[in-house]
Amino acid sequence: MGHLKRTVPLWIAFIFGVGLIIQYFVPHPISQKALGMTQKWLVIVVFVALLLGLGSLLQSHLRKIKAQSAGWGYSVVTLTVLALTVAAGFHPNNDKPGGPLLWAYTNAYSPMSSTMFSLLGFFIASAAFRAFRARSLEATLLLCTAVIVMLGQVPLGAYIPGVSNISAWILGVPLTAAKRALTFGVALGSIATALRIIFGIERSYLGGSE
Amino acid sequence: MTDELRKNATRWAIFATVAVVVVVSLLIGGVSDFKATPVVMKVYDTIEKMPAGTPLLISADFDPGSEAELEPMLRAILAQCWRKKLRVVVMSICSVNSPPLAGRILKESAAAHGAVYGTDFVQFGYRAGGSAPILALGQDWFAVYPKDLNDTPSRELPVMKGITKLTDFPLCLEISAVSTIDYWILAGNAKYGLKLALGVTAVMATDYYQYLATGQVVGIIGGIAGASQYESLTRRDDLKRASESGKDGGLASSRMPTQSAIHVAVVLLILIGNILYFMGRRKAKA
Amino acid sequence: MILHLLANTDPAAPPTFWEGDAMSVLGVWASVGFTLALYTFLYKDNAVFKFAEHVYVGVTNGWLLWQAWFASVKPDLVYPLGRLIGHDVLRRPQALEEGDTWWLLVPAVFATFMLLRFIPKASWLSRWSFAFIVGTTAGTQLPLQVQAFLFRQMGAMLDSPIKHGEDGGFLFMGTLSAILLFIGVISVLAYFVFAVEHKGAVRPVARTGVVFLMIAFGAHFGYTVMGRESLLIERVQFLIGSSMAKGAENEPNPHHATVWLLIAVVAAVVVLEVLRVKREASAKVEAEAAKGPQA
Repeated sequence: MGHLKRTVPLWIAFIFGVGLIIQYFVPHPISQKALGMTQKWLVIVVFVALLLGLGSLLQSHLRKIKAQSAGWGYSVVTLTVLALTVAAGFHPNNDKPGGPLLWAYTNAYSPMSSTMFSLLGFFIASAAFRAFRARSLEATLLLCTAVIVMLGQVPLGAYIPGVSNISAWILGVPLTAAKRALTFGVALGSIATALRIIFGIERSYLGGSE
Repeated sequence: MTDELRKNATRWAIFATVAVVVVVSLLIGGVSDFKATPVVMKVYDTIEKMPAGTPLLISADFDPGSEAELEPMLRAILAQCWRKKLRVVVMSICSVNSPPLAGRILKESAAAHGAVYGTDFVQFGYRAGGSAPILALGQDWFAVYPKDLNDTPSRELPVMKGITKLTDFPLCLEISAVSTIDYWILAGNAKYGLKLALGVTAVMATDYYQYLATGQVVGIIGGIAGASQYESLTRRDDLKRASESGKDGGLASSRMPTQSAIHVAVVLLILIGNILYFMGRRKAKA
Repeated sequence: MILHLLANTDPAAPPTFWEGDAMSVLGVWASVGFTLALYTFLYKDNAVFKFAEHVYVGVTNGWLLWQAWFASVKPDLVYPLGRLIGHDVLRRPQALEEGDTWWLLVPAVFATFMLLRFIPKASWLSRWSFAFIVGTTAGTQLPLQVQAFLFRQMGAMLDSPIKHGEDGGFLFMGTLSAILLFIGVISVLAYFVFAVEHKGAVRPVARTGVVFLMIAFGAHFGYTVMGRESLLIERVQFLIGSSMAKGAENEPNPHHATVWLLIAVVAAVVVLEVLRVKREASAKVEAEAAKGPQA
């Protein structure tokens, strides 16, 4: 049983990983077709994986309600709304315009999602006031660049001589240099991780030690 | 209650300032013209040079959280596409939330310009898996999208004439708020040599300037500023549109005066913060 | 009711109640109400915010569930499998379509194993599905990462820094920028190489790297401010639009939704906060009273 739990997954990762690397260097139509097919499979399995999140959400809220722990009333709200939304999907017009599901998306999900992110508009102003102090040369550079870029990104900046040009230069030269160096680091890191997965050194995706 | 007030006074004062600046300047209103930077102009010019009937792929990869920045951008680009009589093909690889959003914008924009679904434009659904659908589209479009969002077989759509795979598109515009841009650079550009232009949120924009120099990306429209610059270009070249006050005329441009005001407010907040800091330091030394 | 979701049918759309005037107006009120409720977080985490937040979680997950079904599971798995078997769940015959092959059983098996995660005894099988996902992703990404993120970006570093204009003339600023770009990349890399101690000749190079990084972070912050504020501006624009007595052309009539709901939300926060403070005060008194006799 042990090898079914531990060894087989490692072989699956190895076979698909190495297979696809080899595929990259083989331009034959069969190889190309294999690429198309495995990618389509991946799309299907990834989608089903998304459902796992929903399962954990249900479990955690049900547990909270059962134990009547602090704020369990809110869990009731979540589950009721979830049930209503799921029920809305059974409407014959389900995901088409004019159905209750799209109504819920447009009038509840969409505005709340926008609002959640827009709250940061307030917090970032507060952060700018509190954290941006010219304590050292580095901090001063950070602060000045931020100010120039902020002004360069609005029409008002065009009235301050030099701001637009300096802002464009910052993006084209120092920013590009720093991001390019960071990209090298990130790319090397992800290549190393990919190799570790394929050769079975990285096993954290297998979960616990069962 | 007084303890709470004392503790939070500064924070609430800043929040109130932000709210007042935004509300007041929106009530005053107005539209700003914004001169396009070369980075934005490159996207515009690439599309402008396309002959009528050229297929253009748009990957609409955003959800309501970034709608404010990317909707104006998509509208401005669509207005240009309709004027140039290009064939617009829209798809999504970011999330299930993208197709309904992009669909609404497409529907409204097409109705305003008399573009016809199936002939002038088509929308395909969301495909999960990051670079997986892009790689598969590069092999066979119809294997990934046998049907459009309305369940019409893709091959039967006049707008899809002559398109069998990704490389049949001379340009792909990735309108995105997330790292799907990496997938397009990796799978679309590196693997298939697909020409890419980006329309991205401000937060993402700074991560992609490095791909301009290497030619992996032809241009970047960054955030609301980029959208507003793009609108200025469409207004310049489309006098009819310029005279209209509709959403395509300038959703982003109508927000730019407020954007200017709030940027100045944040700069002032930084300034005041520093003055207080140095005053405090001097006092402490004394 | 469930059957029409599984069957390969396209039910004709009835005239919709959800697109009517009443539901459109209710939609505006819901949008405004939820927006304002979430903004109460600016005061502090409170019951009104928590309520809206939990509605958000519920509606998001319900929506995602259905979209997973409509966007992939139904068209890519259930329907093709039905066509391969020859009929759908209503036992209506289904003709094979292009691209339908029994190879589909591979993702079907992995997808089923994935769902077994919820059955403790069989949950280990989901590891096979995860292995498929990570293995396939790693194998696909590895050569592409090398090409797009390493070779292409390194190639740009090897270009000659001497820049000429279209007329062939020497470009001073272009050349200077290209040299600075090169210095920037090398110095930032030097800063991140922790294997070498930042001493001697490495120190000034690493220091230069920090300068480039700070400028980059500053630019990033500037852009972030622009992004966050533009989201806020859109929301406020929406709220102002919904405070009107009449809607714009083709838009539902908001009937001053923002005004009424602002009053309602503020009142709700005040009442709930007063109740909370009272409840906490009485709990404190009770706790002290309980302590009293013991002492």
